[in-house]
Amino acid sequence: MRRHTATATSSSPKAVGFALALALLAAAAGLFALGGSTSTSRAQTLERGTEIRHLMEGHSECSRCHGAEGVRPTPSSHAGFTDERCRSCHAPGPPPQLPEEEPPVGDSYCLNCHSNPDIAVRLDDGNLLSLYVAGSVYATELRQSVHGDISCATCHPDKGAYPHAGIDMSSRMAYRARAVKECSRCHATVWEDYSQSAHGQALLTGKSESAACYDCHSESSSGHAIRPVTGPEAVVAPSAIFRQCGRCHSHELDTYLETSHAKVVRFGDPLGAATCVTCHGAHDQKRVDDPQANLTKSALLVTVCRNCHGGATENFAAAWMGHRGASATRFPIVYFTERFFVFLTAVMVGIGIIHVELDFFRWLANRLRRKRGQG
Amino acid sequence: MQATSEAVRPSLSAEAIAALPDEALEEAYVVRFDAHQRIQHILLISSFLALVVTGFPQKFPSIELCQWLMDVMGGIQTVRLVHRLAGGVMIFDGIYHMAYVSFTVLVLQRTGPLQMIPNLKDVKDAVRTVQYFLGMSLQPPKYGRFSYLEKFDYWAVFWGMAVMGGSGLILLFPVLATRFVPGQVVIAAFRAHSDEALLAVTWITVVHIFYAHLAPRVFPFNMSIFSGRVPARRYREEHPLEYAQLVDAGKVVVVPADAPTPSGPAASPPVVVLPDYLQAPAYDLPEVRPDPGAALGAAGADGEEPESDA
Repeated sequence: MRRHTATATSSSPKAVGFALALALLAAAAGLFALGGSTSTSRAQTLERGTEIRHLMEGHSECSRCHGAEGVRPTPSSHAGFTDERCRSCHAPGPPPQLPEEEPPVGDSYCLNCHSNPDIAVRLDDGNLLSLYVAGSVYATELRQSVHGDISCATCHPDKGAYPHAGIDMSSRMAYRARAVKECSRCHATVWEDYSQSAHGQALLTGKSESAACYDCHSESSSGHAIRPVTGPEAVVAPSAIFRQCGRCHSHELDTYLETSHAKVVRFGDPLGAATCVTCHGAHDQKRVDDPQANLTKSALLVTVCRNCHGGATENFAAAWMGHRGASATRFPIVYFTERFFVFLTAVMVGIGIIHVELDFFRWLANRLRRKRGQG
Repeated sequence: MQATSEAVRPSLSAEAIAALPDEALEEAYVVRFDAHQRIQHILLISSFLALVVTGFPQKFPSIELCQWLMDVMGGIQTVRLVHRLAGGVMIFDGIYHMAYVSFTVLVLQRTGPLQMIPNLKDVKDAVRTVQYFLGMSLQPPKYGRFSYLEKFDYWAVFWGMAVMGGSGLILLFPVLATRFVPGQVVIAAFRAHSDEALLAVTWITVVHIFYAHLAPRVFPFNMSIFSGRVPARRYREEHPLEYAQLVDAGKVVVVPADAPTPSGPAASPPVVVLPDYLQAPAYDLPEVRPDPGAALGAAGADGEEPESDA
C-alpha cells in the first residue's frame, strides 16, 4: 500500500493512470491466483490418473439411451473424477439384457382390445384401473421413448395371451410393484440397488405407493414414455433430475433450489454441482435416518461433501440445513442474519425513498412559491 | 458590495471573498476530491456495475431473462469468473481507500477524512432538514464538509463493501472459512450476500442516483466526483460552514486572469478555492473561459442568494 500512497503527493494525469493500472493489475493478479488455487484444491481431492471406465463400452445397446453417437467423451470439467464420483450422478451399469425368446403375440393382437377407451379393470380395493392405450401413446409416445422398438409383450410377458394369467389385481400398489419387476427382467443391475432402496422397499413390501421406475424415468409417470438418461430430452440428467424428485419431494425441492448447488445446476451445470442423487444416491437411495445412509449426522455427511469439497471438515458439513429452514434455536446465525437483512432493507429503503421525496417536494414547493411571488 | 468591484486580486480579504455574490463565483470552483478519491470512485463504479450485471442473473435462475443473460454473457462459469474478478477489484478498492485514509490522517497529519465521522450535529441537522422539507423551518441547516446525508451514504457503502466482500470471500472459500467459523456462517454469508446486494442496488438506484443525477440543483449529472471540482457557488450553498472556514483560514485563493501560476502563464480561472488538506497542486488547472471582470461587473446589482427567499 505504501507505493500507492506515495503517489498521493502528485495528481498529474500520468500518476493517475499509473495508479489506476497498478490497481487493476494487482486486483486481477490476486484474483487469478485465487481462482487457480481453488481449481487445484478441487483436483487434488480426486485421485488423479484414475482412468474413467465407461462401462457401456462396446455395447451397441447404449446408443438407444445415450444418443446416436454412443457414449459421449468425458467432459473436460470431469478431469480426474473417480468412478465413484461419476456414479454419484450417472449411476451407470451393464446394459439391459433383452430376453432372447420372441414375444408370443404381436402388438396388433394387444391393441385389438386395449385401443378401446373404455377398457378398465376394477381392482380388489375398489379402484378402477384404465387399461386403455391411446393411439397417440402407442404410435408416438412409445416410439419416441427409449423403448421405441420393443413390442408390448416384451414388457407385459404374462399378458401375451388371453386370458391374462398371473396378474395381482388386489390394489394399485400391487400393480405398480409388479410393473417394476417387469423392468428388472432386463435392468437386472439397477434392480439390485432399487429393490434395497427406500423407494423399492416401500413399494415392494406394500408400505406405500413409492416411486416406481417410470415415475422418475418419464415426465408423466408412464412406462410408455421412458426418456433417455442423457441428452436434451433426459429427465434424470443432473440438470433435470431435481424436477423429477420434486414431483413428490416438493418441500425438499424448494429448499434445494435455495442452495448455491441448485443455481449452478440450473444454469447448465458445467461444474457438476450437487443434485439430489449426489447425496442421496440414484437407484439406491436410503431413508436419511437409515444407518446405511451417510446423511444421518455431519460426521458421516462430510464424506459426501468431500466428493467435491476437498478438505471439508465436520464443521463444513454442519452447514447443511437438512432441507429445513432456520429458526431461533436451529441454525440461529442463519436465522438472525435473514431477519436482520429484512429489517435493514425495509428501514434503509424506507428512509431513502422518504428523504428523496421530501427533498424533491420541498424544491417543487419553493419553485412554485417563487413563481407566484414573481407573478 | 463595494469591495467586490476591485476584488480580483490575490490579496482580497476574507470578508470580501465571503461577500462575493454568486455571479462573481461563476467560473470558480472548489477542489473537493483529489486524484486518489476520483480513482477510488471510478474503481467502485466499474466493479459495482460488473458485479450487478454478473451477480443478479445468478440470484434469479428461475427467471427466463436471467437464463438468457447468462447465455449471452458466456455461461455460468465465465460469469462467475468475471464476478470474482470484479469482486477482487472492489475489495482492492476498499483496501486502497483505507490505506489512503490512514496515510492521509496518520502520516500526512491531515484531518480532512476524519470529518466523515458522524457526530451530534448530524443528528440535529437531519432533524432540522426534515423540518425544512416539511415547511416547519425556513432555512435548511448549514452543513460542513460532509452533510449528514453524505456521511450516511458513505457509511452505507462502507458497510455494504464490508458485508459483500466478507461474505463473498466466505462463499469463494467455504472449506477454508469453516476452519475458523461455524459451518452455518457459510449459509448466513450466502443469504447476506444475496440480500445486501439487493439492498445496495436499491439504495444506489433510489438515493445515490437521485443526488448525483436527478436532484434539480445537479441535474442532469454531478460531475464533481470525476473532475474533483464543485462550482464555488454551489459549494457555498451546499457546504456553507466549510466554505466559511476556508475563507477565514485564507485557503481561498483569488487569482486574477493574468496572474502567473507555478505551472506556467495564467490559467485564467478567476477564483480558486482550495482546501489544503487535499493533495492537489494549486494551479494545475485546465483552461476556463477568462474575463472575470465582466462577471464581477454584473455582480454588484444582485447580492441576494437564491435560497434566502425559501
